[in-house]
Amino acid sequence: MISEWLAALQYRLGATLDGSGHIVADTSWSAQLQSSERLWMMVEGTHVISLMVFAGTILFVDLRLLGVVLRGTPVSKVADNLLPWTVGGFLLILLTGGALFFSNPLEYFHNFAFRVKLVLLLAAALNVFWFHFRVQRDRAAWDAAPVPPRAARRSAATSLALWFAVIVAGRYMAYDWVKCMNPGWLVREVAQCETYDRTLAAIDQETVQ
Amino acid sequence: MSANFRDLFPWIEAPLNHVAAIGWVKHLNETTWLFALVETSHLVFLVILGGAVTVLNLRLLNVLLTDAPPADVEAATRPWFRAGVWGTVISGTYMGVATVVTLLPSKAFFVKMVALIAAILLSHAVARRVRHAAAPASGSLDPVAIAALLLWLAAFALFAGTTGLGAGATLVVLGGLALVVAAWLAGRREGVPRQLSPLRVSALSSLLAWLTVAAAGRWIGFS
Repeated sequence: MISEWLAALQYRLGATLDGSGHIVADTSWSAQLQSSERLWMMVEGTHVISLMVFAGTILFVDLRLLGVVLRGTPVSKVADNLLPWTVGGFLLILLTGGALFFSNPLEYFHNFAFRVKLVLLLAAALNVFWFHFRVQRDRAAWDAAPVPPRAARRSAATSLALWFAVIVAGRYMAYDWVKCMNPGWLVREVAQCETYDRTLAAIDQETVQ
Repeated sequence: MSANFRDLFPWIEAPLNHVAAIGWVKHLNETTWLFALVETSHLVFLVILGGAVTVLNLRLLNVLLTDAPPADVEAATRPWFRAGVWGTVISGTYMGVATVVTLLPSKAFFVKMVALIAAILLSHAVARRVRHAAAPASGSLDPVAIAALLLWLAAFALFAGTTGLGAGATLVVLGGLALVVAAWLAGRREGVPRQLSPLRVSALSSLLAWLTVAAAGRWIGFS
């Protein structure tokens, strides 16, 4: 059902229909976004640069929590100063990532690495909430400590591992072996490639040949 | 207006192609999983580099961590900056050998390389001033910083003036505007004086130069 909905989003939304109600290929908004050279390049370029700001600032907050850098500066100072940049980078990533997904939603949804990335994103978000509502509750007690307590360090190490894994999964989305193109067993099962093929065949029937 | 390595230095094509054709180099380049690993590590090192450059230069622009001495922030970011530069250069060299045929005529690659030299020199000039100058915020721009600034301006002019790369230069301009607005807002909030010291000029130029490197790098794939 999600596949059909995403196929409609990708192939029908904004598309031109011929006299018999068939979709004229490459006329949907998704197709136009992908072929709009300048806008497409700006979206992709902004995505990479926002990633550098987002993950780069997370790196230094986590390194402070691990007691590796800026040991003389309170954790709250480092976190509060870098947080607006992390949030700004995240909003840009969300916006540009959403646009990139919109350009080819059906294929991304059935991409093995994309699904791994979503799971990792969920785990990273849970770690953020865990840190915010549990680990950080007694921050005042260790705010100025050069090396924060074990719980904070564990949460920071988890955060680093998860965010870098998200980046790796995101990069791997581009490779053919994680797509439903001649997939191996694992990719076929996890990415539900049979559903992908069925949905694509159905949309082909609705498209002007 | 445009430039690329193949037209400017035609003599480098033959030796580089020769290296790319060596058996084990060819084998390494054709090992798909290894190439994917190197491409991914290039991005990871770019993020580490981006974090180090952002934190240090925004501190010098008085945008963040204003309570921490600049020398402490420079010392904290230095190993990560070095890891980022070495990591991107080594992984980039590997990727470059594999794709030398397409890189040499690439205008975006030429812009990236010129901007990379400028960015490394600017970062070096900024770090040296923070580490060694008695009063880092005063005095005049040193010759290395001036040369690097001119080199970055040349790279940016090429980026903006080359057909097909203009959108990348627009991204650098937008990033620059965002930085200036952030610095202005931070200054207003903290009551920090707004004068344009040589250190702040170098810090802003360094951020913009690295932004140019990242944008031009992405545009290699588009052109």
